[in-house]
Amino acid sequence: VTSELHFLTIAQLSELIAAKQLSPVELTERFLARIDLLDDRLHSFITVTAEGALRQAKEAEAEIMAGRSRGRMHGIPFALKDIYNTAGIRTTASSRLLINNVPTYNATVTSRLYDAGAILLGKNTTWEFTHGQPSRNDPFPPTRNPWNTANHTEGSSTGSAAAVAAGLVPATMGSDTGGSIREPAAACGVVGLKPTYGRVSRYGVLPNSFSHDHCGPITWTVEDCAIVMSVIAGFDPLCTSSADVPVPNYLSALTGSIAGHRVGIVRDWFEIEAPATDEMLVAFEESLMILRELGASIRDVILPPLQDYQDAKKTIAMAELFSIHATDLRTRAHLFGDSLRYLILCGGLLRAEDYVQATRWRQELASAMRVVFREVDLLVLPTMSSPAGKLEEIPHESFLTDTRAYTTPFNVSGCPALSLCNGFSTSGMPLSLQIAGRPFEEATVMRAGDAYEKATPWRKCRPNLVEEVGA
Amino acid sequence: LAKPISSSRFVPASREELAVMAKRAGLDLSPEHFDQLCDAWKHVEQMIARIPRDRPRLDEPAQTFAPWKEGLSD
Repeated sequence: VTSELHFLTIAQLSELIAAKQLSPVELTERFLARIDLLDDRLHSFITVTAEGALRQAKEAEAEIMAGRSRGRMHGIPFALKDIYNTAGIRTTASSRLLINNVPTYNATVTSRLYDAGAILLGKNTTWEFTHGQPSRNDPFPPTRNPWNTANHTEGSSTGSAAAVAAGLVPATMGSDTGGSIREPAAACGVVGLKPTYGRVSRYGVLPNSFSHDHCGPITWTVEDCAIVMSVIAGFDPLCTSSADVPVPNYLSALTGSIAGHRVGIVRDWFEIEAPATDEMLVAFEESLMILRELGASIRDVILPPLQDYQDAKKTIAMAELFSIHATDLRTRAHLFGDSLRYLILCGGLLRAEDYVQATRWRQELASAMRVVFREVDLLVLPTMSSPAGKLEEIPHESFLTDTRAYTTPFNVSGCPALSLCNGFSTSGMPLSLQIAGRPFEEATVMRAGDAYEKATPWRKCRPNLVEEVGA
Repeated sequence: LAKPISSSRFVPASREELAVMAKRAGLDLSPEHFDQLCDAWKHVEQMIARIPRDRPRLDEPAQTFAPWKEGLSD
């Protein structure tokens, strides 16, 4: 088997495992060795569960050798953002408040991946409670970008995206409240899907904003994303926002063709209101050409300003976030990182009317997107306005003043949205494309992403960290 | 479409007013943390002033109570 086993996709690895040409134990050992070799530079893992992983790998191997396959994720290593409950394994949310927190039960997503025979390698670094940006007094160092370790990864699923890009694990689970799967995926040149609100269970996952939180996968390819989604998607009676909507066969949706698909472009967002860099815009126009060649028709559409979506989301989220942390803020505020405390204290000062009016506004903004989705099947735009830059402390208020996030409208509307790589900057950092669709049409979104990905060369490029560490 | 509060009606809160608001929220903050609150609130109050409020009475919020959902009855 190839010496670059760690860079094979889940689709490739699962074929080798099913054909009994690859041992899940050997695969797990390879990834654990790679984490050991490289993660001192990346800081993408908070906890590595080597002992448990090897035990799970041996169990998977025994079952597979006995002819009892559980599907495409059987014997495949994965990792979880450190907000997913894992029974018996600490779950810190990268916070001093939970530094010794060991859950007694699994998140539904954890259980579903275990039931599919997947192997947990560990827990990935996140911004504190998925919200605070890196602070000087954080308990864990910030994750660095595998494409340039002097650069940041965006957030908040920082370690989840970096670990996949670096070939430390083939699949991770992130969470996305305003862009926290898609932005780090974009920054690290990997695939990140925020499914429809309600499509993937939030049960047992530490919240940021109940009504905006989405759980979703981060992988190297769209096909791998579809494989993970096939395991984690679906109704969960334990999750209050779970939707009882049938789950299609995501893999069979990846036909390679988007002929007849109508694609809408919200140019006002990324050309006027929050202009993307020239490199992003050039890559975007080239991506549109590819989509046209694949059979899509393209037209411009109008939506309310990005700032409206940001204001509604942030007001709602700030109130929900404060309600989650109110007791700790009143009794031990010093244990929060500087950034998170700065961002959530104000939530206590919001009035009930602010919150409710923001949710009424949200309804209006989501409705505007539903109207546009009567005219088009997909919306396509850059994921970020620029590639990831230097890792440096940023002013706490930037989260409150920055309205450039092209990702947040899809948290407000609950629509599925996918980020994938659409090229590289002159400095070698990944550029990004975002594809969004109607609620519960993840299959259409992934079909378009997969078709684009297979028509372009970007999946052949990987960061070369081993040369960098001189190993 | 609903409109936000007129900018002429927007008056930034003073530190004294913020101290009262923080106390009502049950926050007994150190001077350092109170300074953080005051600094952040400058941005937050501008944001909430942009929220449209003069809505038709029948406009519903995005989140509504769904007692038929199984998880809520457990």
